[in-house]
Amino acid sequence: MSGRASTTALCLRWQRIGLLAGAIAVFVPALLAFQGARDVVGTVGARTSAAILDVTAAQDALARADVAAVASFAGGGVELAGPGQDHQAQIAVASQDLARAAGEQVTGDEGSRALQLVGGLLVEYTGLIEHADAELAQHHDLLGVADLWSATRLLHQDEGILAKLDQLRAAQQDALHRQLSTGWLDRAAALWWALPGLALLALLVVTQAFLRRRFGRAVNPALLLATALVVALLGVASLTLVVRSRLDATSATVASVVLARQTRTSTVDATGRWRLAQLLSPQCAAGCGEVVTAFVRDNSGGPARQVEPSQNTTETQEVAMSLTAAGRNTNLEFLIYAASGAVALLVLVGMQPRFDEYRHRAR
Amino acid sequence: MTPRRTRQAAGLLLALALAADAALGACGSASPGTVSVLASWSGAERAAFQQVLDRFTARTGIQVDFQGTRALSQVLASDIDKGDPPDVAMLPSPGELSDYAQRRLLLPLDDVISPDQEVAYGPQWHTLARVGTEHLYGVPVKADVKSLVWYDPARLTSPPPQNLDLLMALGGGLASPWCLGMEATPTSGWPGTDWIEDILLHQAGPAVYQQWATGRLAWTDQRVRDAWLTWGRLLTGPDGARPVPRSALLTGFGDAGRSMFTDPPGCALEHQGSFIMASYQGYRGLPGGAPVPGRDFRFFRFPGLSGRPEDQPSEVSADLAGMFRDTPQARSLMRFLSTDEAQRIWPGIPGSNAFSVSRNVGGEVYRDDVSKGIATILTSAGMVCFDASDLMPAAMRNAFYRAVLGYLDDPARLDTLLDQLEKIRAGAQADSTPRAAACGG
Repeated sequence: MSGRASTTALCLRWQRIGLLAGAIAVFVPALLAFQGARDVVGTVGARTSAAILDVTAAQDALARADVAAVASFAGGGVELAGPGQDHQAQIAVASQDLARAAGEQVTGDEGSRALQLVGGLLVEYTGLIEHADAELAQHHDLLGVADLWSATRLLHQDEGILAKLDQLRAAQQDALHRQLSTGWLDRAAALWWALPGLALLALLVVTQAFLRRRFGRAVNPALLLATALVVALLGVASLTLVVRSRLDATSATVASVVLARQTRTSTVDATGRWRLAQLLSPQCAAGCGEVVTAFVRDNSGGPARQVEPSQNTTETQEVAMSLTAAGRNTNLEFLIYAASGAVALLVLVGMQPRFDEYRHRAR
Repeated sequence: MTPRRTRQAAGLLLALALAADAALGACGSASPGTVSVLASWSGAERAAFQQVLDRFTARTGIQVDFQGTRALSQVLASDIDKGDPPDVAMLPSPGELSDYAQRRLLLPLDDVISPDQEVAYGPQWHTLARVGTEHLYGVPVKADVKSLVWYDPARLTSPPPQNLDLLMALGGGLASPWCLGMEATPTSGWPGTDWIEDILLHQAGPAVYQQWATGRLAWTDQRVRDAWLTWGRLLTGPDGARPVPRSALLTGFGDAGRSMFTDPPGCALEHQGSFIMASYQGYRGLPGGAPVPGRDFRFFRFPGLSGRPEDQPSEVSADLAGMFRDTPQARSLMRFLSTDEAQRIWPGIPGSNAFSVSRNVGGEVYRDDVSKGIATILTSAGMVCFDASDLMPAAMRNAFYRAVLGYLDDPARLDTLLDQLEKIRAGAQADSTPRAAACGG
């Protein structure tokens, strides 16, 4: 056996091993990245964005419930109407939203504790509204207004229900940001499949050149097809980057929905404060301390305001559509299996005739 | 393999096994572990208590998993129901401490806190920390005195009143001398319950107070009724000429004292616990700047029917640490909290307005004479009684709060309110477990 012949055999063997190893080196990270992206889409859709929307919807419902109660008590007929049907409906909506947020468990123990605290405060809030109802029905107007004032403070004060939900929502948005920027959705993680992919392509080109030089064949069709499939494989893997971009868009949609709801809740809230200031003002003509005085002064201006209707359903659909778009093509995982398998098979099929030819020459 | 090589291999394996065992063992003993703590403190209080916990970690290496929640009672009850209580909880109500002790959910500290450490607390605190049992269950972390009347020394120059009649006559020439705020969401009304408790304690004496606080005296008892009526007379003046300040229902308890410092003043006196110092010092936008202890406000002790106010019992509240899990780390923390070192940390933080009941925490820790005076009340040998509403079952306590608001709204409803309170006592309190001792000393 000549030295050139043995070098050729060794090169063929190493090239085949290198190509097969390269196929595996692309397949594994590409598959993991693809599955990771798909899982994040599922998690964001089923839990994170859902929890954020649930918490903001609960805030909106609670602000509306408060306004409805104040409006009902201010409107007279409290003996029959109580805090009103709308108040009760909104409290029910808020309770359901919070129960769903608790089930979604996005922020771990901290989130569970926050929701536990909000649940306790909500019980106290509804208790105060019930007291206000009972006192006003017995024409104990000052007591009733005092209960309403306490209920409103419980909802709005610095450590109140809405502030606690704000903190929880911020933690949920942080969790969403982490989900999109870490693990396989981190853009730098694409290097795990892109670099082996490029190396595999280079090796395929080198192998084609080697076969042409040593065996005089213009092109190895199987390796050419394998090259095309590697390109296709990288294209499928790069869908993870597309998913990441789409999830960024979803995240932006969620943020804009949160902002819209906060603005709307703030408007609803201003309406409630205006109505409560109308109730407090005659009771505090002789002064009720700096806090009440400032509240009445800051919220008495302007005419009566109307509560904007909720747009929660439309906004939730908007986020759902964005999530559907983000998840599009995440069912193409089979292409990674198929392309990787085919590349390996084509490497074997494409190089085997050259092994046979080499053995024939050697004899 | 030769027998020699076999022996060498076996020796090597044994050495490796021993080294691994030693390493693992060392890991086990080197890690001091973690203790979980539940408390209701947030904001500045949380930051202050964190300094206590940081010192504990520095001394022992034990890490603290701190959870602060305003809904402490609900969170603790829920954790206990789930079978996952914190190692240590800071209970703001001795009633809860007593409940958990009676239900054997709280662990006695007799073999945790040494008698040497316990002796730092006055004998009255020994009684209170035993919550009516033979065993020690709580370590007081900080405490407040409630039997205090605050005033501006520049405006009220007469000597402190020595009895209730003199207190009643004290008005500073104002139409409404008392700074009064009942709003304390979500427990509005408690500032009024402090009034009733203090008056009953000083008017009827500790024995009656103890009976009433522990549910063994009817609300319709004449002595209880007299306490309410005395409060009404204090507010409306001896001749009843002043209107009841009904706007107090909407005034925040921390906001009420502000008008004591305005020019002209809106009120001259405030019945409030020692914790109100933090509110006073936080007032902004006043003509003389933020009130300063000693210069802008002082206190005198709530007087009784007769005798020197200094000899009268004082109503107090306290945050008590209780141990729910018997772990070395929990024991270590409880022991640390009872030490002089730990007791000095919180009161020594500027602006904390926290007070220790340890007699070994000297006056040098407190920065002004007002604070030193409060610390003296807490650590002297005089009798102290826990806030009665803190000892009552939740249903009774909440009804008491509501009754105070109802009375201020319309004092003529007093008998109806007392009848309703009595019905609740008969239903809720009579069937409950024995309550903690209300007074000690």
